Amino acid sequence: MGQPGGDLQRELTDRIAALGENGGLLLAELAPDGVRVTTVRRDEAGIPQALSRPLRPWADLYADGVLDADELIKATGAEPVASRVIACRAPAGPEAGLSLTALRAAYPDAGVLWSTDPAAELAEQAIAATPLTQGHELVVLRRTRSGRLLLGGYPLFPAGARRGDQCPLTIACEPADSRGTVLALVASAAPLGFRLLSVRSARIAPGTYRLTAELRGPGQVDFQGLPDILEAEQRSWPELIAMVPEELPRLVPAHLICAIEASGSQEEVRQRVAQVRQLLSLVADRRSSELSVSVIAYGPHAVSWGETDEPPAVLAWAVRPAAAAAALGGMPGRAADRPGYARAAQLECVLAEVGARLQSEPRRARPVLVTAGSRPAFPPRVDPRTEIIPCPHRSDWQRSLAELHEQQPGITFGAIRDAEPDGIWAELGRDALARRGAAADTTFAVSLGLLSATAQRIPFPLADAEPA
Amino acid sequence: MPAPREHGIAMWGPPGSGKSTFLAALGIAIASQNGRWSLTGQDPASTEMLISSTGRLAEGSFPAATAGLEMFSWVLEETRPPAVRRRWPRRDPAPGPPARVRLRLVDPAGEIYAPEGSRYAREDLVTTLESSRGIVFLFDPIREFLRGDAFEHTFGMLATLASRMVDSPERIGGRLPHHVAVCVTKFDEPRVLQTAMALDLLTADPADDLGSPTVAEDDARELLGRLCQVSHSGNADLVVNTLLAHFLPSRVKFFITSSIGFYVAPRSGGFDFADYQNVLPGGPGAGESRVRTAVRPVNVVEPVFWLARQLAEA
Repeated sequence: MGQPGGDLQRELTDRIAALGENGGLLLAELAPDGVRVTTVRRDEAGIPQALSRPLRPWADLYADGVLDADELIKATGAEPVASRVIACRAPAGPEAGLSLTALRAAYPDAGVLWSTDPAAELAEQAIAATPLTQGHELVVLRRTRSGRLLLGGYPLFPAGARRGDQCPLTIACEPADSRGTVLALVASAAPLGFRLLSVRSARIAPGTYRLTAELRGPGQVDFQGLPDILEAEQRSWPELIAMVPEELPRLVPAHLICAIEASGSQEEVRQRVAQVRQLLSLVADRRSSELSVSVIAYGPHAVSWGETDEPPAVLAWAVRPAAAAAALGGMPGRAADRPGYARAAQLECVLAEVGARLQSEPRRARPVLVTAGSRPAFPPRVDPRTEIIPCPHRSDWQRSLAELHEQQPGITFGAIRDAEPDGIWAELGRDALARRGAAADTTFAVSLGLLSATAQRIPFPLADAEPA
Repeated sequence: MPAPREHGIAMWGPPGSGKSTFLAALGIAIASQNGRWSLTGQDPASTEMLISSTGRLAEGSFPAATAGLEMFSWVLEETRPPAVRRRWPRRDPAPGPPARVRLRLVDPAGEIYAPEGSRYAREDLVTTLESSRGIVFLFDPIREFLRGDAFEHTFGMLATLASRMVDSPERIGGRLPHHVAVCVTKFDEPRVLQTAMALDLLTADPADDLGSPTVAEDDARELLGRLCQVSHSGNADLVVNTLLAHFLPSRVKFFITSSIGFYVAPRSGGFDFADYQNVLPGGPGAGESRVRTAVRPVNVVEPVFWLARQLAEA
């Protein structure tokens, strides 16, 4: 050491990196106005920490223009350290030059560097460039098969990682309280457990997020891909730990299929759409993104002479909730265009369509069929009891329902209807039932398995589950 | 004294039993007979009524209900091509004279058949029946199932008619001299068709190239008997017994009819037992009841032609 520039910075970095658990590096800065000592030591988490003492002005060390060498040695060498560096800050005055000579005589192994920057800044830069001595992890929760929540670490950077290293990770955020989801960074040392490095929080909507963690230096990690800015968390660690519930019932991925009757008055259709939209919002806000949504509009079969019969319109299929909500916007206008048969609607064709689509694709989620409407289905053949004319395609709603139950284990049915359910509506509302015009109801969503039975706030992100 | 040739056919049935629709269907059915028969109004009102009701039904709308007491009269006439002069005499017997009868409809909007109904209206109807020698009696099994008022409408009228004709020399064995075609309507209704199916009374209509079912005239009374068992009032069977008590059983014939016929899906190729309803019911938001597809009357001309021939041969 002795030359300014990158080599000196690298050597300083190497000296800091070489510090052991108890070692220290002393940086004696000979500044234009005095001497300042900065000490670098590793903390319990292995992170080098720089501590600067107050400046000793030259006036304290010189008497009548003569350096008090003993006092200088005392001011810069009061503690035992493993490594010493003398930092001469330009422009150096005559006091610095005399002091450098005295210090080099006292500490011949000390390195010397020249810089225009304060020594504390040099130390911080060098610290940031040192490799990790302990791995860094993100505190996450893992859910066992039985639903228990286990606190643990998601490995981000192992020992030896350096500034600029990156790590992709996927986290799932459950609903948190108003202060947001906590991203806590810890250093892991197998025999010692973990040491907390930083605790920050951000308001993150429930969902799954693909992030990139970037190491900015020991103890410093940036997360890219978050929808909000991380801010320092004010709550204590014990408080945060206490907020973690014992368990979080597992919600399997769900495919919410909303079938909405577009016949009836405009007001009736508007209410159905609004109610489905509310349900969608409620569910999307309170569960992770393991939710796909489909929207189907249906009405009566055409019966007027010359009128073309149209099948149910699949406005969206297996899309994210936001896209489904957008698809709902096209719903109310359909009613007036389709007068059709007045006493029934194409429920039987909806069920056939849903069954065919689900059967033709790999199962990715448990289907949940929510139907909003009022009219009964068309029978597959003449029905002397209702005297409703048959479906022109001979779709049989009872057979379609039986096939859905058989081919889609765990499927649940919810109905939003005007009146007491009977016939097909009793089947469509077998798991959950709501009246048209009622506000979106958590109980309705819980009954369908779309939400957990207990409203829980989860402060930490969830990582992949582990076996019980 | 023989019955005068002008003696015509009266259409008779309780209010709402479908007389106007039957007449409109008759107009459509006659139009499809290749010109062998014609139906002509005897006055402007009757002509207009025939045109409007037939036109509405052909377009899928049921004829408007009549308001107040209305009397209509048409002439049903069998038409034959001009005789060809032959060198040799025919071997087959010469046909009888072409049938020509007056068809009359006294269409009451109210309850004039009931004892408490308008006396004057009942008088007009009785007079019409008295001067007729053929009666098309419409029996609506669905109305009977829902309201059960056929006997109430029938008994009083028949009693009055019998009283009016008690001294008529035309009575035979104490019975009225009329021929009566009892037309059980709404064969296209599921409850009626399925009852016939349950009794195994359905046969394929040989005259129908779409394979629509029909009930043979010999089986029609059995079906009527079963339909009477589900009468709302429980006394529908008395209607039949009363008719047979007042008219010669040999002059009473039963027909299972449908004014609008069965629905046949376009491009389906034929009648389908899974889908044959031809009425689109009306209601709030649905407008008036309508016919689902083309009107294809079933057994509508047959009872009228039968009566016409009976009167022509009398």
